[in-house]
Amino acid sequence: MDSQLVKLNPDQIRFIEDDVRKAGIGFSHLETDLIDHICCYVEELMDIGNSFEDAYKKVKKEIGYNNLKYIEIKTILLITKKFETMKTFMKITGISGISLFLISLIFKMNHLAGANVLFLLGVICIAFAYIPSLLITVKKEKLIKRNIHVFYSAAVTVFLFLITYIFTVMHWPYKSYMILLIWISTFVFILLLFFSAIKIQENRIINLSAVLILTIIVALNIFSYSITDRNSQNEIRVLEYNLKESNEYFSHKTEELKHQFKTKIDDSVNPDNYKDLVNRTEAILNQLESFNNKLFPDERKLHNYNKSILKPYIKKGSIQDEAINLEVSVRAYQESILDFTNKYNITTLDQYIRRSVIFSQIDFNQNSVVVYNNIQRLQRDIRILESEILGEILRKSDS
Amino acid sequence: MIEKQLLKGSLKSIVLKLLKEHDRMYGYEITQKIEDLTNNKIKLTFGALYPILHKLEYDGDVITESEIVNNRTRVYYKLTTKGEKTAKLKISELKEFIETLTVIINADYGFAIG
Repeated sequence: MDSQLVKLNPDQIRFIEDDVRKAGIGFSHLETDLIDHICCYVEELMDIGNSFEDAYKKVKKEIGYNNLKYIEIKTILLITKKFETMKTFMKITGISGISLFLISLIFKMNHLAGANVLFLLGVICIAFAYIPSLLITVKKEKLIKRNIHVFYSAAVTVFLFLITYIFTVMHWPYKSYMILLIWISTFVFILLLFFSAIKIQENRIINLSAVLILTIIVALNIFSYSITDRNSQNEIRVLEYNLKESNEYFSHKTEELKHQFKTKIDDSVNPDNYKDLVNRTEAILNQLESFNNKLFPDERKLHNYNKSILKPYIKKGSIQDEAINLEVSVRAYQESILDFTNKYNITTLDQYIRRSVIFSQIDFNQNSVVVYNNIQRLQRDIRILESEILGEILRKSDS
Repeated sequence: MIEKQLLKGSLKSIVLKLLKEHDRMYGYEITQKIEDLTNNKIKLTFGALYPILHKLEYDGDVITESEIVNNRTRVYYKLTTKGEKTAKLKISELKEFIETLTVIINADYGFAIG
């Protein structure tokens, strides 16, 4: 509908624009709407014979330029009426999330129970309540006018970080895919940040340097991540190899000693008793072995372990029951060995038994790979003990 | 001239109806169209119109297109698919309201007044 004959010239339009801009309307495209509306109205009045000055004076009087700001306020009020609840929700969840993080930090520093639970609650609060309501608020209110995609990609990256934390704590599968997603979204975020930094004219060098520094930090992180992972993987392998070697050596030695027993001291030592020692040792070693198998049912997983396995070992479910059984058995074994050495007067080994055959050496506060290796170490110590005892008895019978 | 207070609740539906009938419209065009259609009985001030248009845009019922016309930027408003549905609903609500009002106004209460 553009039936008017008179058209305002650019100077007249600029005159109106300057006037309207004085009202300082910043909401969305409302100012553009109002300028065009006033121009149309002025044109219509000019169409019926008014001069620009007269027409504009009449329009100004009718509209009342003091009302322009009021229209903006009215618009915002109409829009935000229902939206206030969402914004309040956003504020509450944001503050609660941060408070939970801080409280969990205080708990952690004071070694109080529940720090991890509080942290997890904070993560859930931020990821599922704060971030979604923040995104809706930003989108609806058009809070960010330039480079909104940078903001979105940052929000997605933070969200993925938090979700991956939940995956880790809950021991859910596919965590490695989540980590991959984090890298991808971080990469996208940096890329978008880079392009938006190029676009902005002012402080371009500072902006680009900031992006560069961020890229270097991320790259270093990826680099050190793979390096430390590989290093500790190698360390664990060497340790495991050594333990296996010594375990084999000592079980071989025990076999030899058992053979000597058969040929040499049938008369001096009650055969049932030495068999009892061997059987008990075999039983406890098997129990330790089966525990380790449960810890890592798939041996490949141990060799190619990633950080997900290197997380604090959680005593729960069937593994916890197994651990309790193991503790009882190791204690019982230690007692029976001490009885045995007392019976045969070889108490010189008592100190060693008390020091080496200790359940707490497994240290369940460590991650599961360390627990695995500590169990192997315990197996080795038990093997050494067994051969030491058998050797001692043989020495006694010789002298 | 129709009283402002009477119109207040129906303005959104009227604007939606107009947008439904046209492919796209700009603010001034809407006010003019309403004046034309109603023989100047309904005068929609821009103080009432733009908050409604912005609210419709915010709710996703309309989208805007900006164009340079006669040396200035003009914002056109256009119904979205969601807006089409809202318009249908609002128009039928308004019709029902008018019919109900007619029933009340035309009713023969069965007793003489006065």
